[in-house]
Amino acid sequence: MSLWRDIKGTLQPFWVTLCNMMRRPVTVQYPEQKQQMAQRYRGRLMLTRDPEGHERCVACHLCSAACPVDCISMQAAEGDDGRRHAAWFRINFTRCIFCGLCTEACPTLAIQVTGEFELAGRDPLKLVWEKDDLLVDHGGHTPDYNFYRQSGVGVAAPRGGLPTETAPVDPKDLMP
Amino acid sequence: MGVEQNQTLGNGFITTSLDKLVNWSRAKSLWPMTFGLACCAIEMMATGAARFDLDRMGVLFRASPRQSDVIIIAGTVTKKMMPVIKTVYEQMPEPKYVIAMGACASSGGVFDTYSVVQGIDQELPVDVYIPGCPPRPEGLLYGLMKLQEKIMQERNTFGAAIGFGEVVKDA
Repeated sequence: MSLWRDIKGTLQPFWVTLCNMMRRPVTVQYPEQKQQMAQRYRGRLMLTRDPEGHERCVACHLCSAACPVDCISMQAAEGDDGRRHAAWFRINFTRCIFCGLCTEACPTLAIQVTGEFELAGRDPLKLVWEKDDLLVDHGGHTPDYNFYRQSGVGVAAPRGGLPTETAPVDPKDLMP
Repeated sequence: MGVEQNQTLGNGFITTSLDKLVNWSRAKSLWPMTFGLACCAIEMMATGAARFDLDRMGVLFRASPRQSDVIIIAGTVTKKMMPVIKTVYEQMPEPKYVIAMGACASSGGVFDTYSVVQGIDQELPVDVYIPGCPPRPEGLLYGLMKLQEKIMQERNTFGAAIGFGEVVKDA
């Protein structure tokens, strides 16, 4: 009885090997053959534009507030038409954990994820991406969305410049 | 001293061809130290397994630092672990390379605390940084290909191998 078990135990591994030899290999030949990422895969981040080609980002700092590792930083600036934009926008990809919380926080759908993951580099400072590197010429996952069409344009004229308004108070001025 | 440091075998056809041969043999047989610290190590194991298969790039994990060429810092480096990593790194024979895999090894990542080293480059000379938390197996493969490119660009490797001058690691 024990002999029969031993013979079986000797031959069965060969059978398993034989079965696996007949199977197709599962290896993905990476540099030549690239996998299609899932639709909602979170790779590196990008700053998208609205259908009219303007930057969507209004520099509200919500993404940097939502970022668990504080890798997003920016400086808000205001254009002549009262529209806010980011004077500079910086993402440190060495610290980024690609969690996508910034994209969920973004009210204008400006910051979005791409499927790109080939970011490795020899210089850590080149992994700190500036606004020019992050801006793309399309609308990302929401090509038709325009924040100002949804919410209306805020102030076209400078604040306090309309006839019915009083001039804004300068909080740094001590004069009565 | 300055003259001795710049001593090479020159940029002749024969020496650069021999350099290329040495570089090629080094780049195509990168043996990493089996060294995992956190969740990035799981991804590193996945890269070594059948689906992504590091072996086809000549990357075989070695269990001893004496047989390794590259150490992949895969995971969070705590200050308590740092002396161990340094010991392992110093036990590796030259030429040796360091890959910082993942956000924690590159910059500290989420762990901006007193007990975590804010980037392995504070202690070791890192050659390739791979962002991601953790990086995809393809991301690690891409980083290894970047390291192979770097090794292929080294000069005077043959001269250094026969004890003449030092390796020029520019570009």
